Amino acid sequence: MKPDLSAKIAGIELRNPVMLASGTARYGEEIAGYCDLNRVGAIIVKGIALRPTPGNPPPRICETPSGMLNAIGLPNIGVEAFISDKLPFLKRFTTRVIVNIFGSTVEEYGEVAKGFHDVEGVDGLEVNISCPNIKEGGIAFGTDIEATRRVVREVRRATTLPVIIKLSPNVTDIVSFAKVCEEEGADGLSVINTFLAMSIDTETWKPRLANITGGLSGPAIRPVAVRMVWQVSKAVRIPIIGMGGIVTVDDAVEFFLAGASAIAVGTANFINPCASIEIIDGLERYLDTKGLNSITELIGALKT
Amino acid sequence: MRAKVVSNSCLKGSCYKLILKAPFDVTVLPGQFLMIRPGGSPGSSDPLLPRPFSIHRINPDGNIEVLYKVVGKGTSLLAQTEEGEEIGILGPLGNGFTIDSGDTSGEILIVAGGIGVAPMLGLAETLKTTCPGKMNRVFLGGRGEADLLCIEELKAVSTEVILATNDGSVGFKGYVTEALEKHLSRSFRIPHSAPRTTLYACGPTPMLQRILEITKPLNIETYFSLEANMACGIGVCMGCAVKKKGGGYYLVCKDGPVFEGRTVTL
Repeated sequence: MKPDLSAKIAGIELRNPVMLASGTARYGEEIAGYCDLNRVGAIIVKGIALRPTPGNPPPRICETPSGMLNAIGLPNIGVEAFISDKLPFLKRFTTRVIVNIFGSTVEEYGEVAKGFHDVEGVDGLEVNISCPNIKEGGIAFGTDIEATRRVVREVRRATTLPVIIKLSPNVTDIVSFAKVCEEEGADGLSVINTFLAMSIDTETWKPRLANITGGLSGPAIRPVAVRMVWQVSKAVRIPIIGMGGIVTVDDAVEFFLAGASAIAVGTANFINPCASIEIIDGLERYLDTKGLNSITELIGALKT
Repeated sequence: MRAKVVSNSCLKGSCYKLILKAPFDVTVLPGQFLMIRPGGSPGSSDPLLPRPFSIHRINPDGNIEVLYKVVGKGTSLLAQTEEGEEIGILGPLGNGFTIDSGDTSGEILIVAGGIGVAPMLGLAETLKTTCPGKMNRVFLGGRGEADLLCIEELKAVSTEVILATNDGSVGFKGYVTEALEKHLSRSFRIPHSAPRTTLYACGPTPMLQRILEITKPLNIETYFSLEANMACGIGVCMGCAVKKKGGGYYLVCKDGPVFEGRTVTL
């Protein structure tokens, strides 16, 4: 018998606990040519704001040891265009659709959330309070505990959809932020977004990104992400989507053992657009080899 | 996809030619590119990302040729790849050059700076068969003789190959764009009787900017093959932005890598 990979996160039922992380699969159209979207648990689409935004000037990305920096700057088509032009494509798949949202004020977060109220084909919201690359909003909310509280409260008030808060790792004590989200009624947490980082070209003496700083992702951040998932999972009861440098099935297993109920594949989608499918197949084999019947047996099973 | 390395040899200085057994059975358009992950083992995380390389040509054996210059960690590792090894690739990607095969008159100009010659041999070969009646001039530029590649191959498929080097070691002494200007001042001396001209270019950004300036007053269609930092190659990371004339951005991987010169701000 095949091991059971099905999961329920923040009230969203998933065929398996492997998601495509926001910003690494855009709105699904391109990656669908390489990766069978019907096989992944959920796609978390690239950040959506009330109105369209163009993104940052190039260069927007550069590679660093076992990782990459990005300062894409959240180019987005806005709530309306997403619902009319992009969502119909995603609705052709049985995969769950989680919409990542951001705003430049607390009120805007609420308005974006309202924009998805009763929209068929949207299964949940992931609230981005942790993007390090936009001037307004993003990380400014995710690194201030009272701002985090206000955003979560506003979004919670605005929607009955499952609300998942994407936490910033750029804080001294991520646990206190996780607790505030739980107190304000969040249904789940995405742990973690990228680390604020910087790289300099020693020939030109210029920053390697036009934005000067960017967000570090990839295997370089994985051990920190695993640590944060473990700390948060001990402190809150709401489920965690673990993410940060997951490339292989073993990487994914680490996050489940640390306490994540689901995982998201991010930077690895750039290296191999089928990475998530390989991880799903790998998880089945892993559970089988270990003689386990269900993925739930792995969650938080860390031996200390 | 994994592709087997047929050969990987140094052509000149730090420029190499990689030949891969094609793992796909599709038509490759000149100007399209591949993402190649250097460094052998699929599990290695440094270097992490694949790199974009334009497809040089499909050779008579049906194999994919890639011309590259060693400039950093990824290309250094690629240069160490040996015959028989397998490497990770994704492609063919992007749009390729626009070719008007219905138009049999006029002149085609191909301008390549340094390793920018990479996509141009495949283009010249295709133009030779699709637009056989056209004059096809290639301008090949570099700092010195060592930077000029594929001279004989290009001569075989074009009307004329004009060489330009900054140090004057071979051909015209100066920038390739100066050699181009000299040619245009002759062919456009009487503008209304000048031949209909299409220009294809690939090379450093200052070269492309200069070409835009030179061609702006003349009625010349320009197509540029652009390069950018890229993580995915398929339009999901949105890292490879290039400024759109009039605001916003194109993605080099998905909207390009070939753009009409007048549509982008370089």
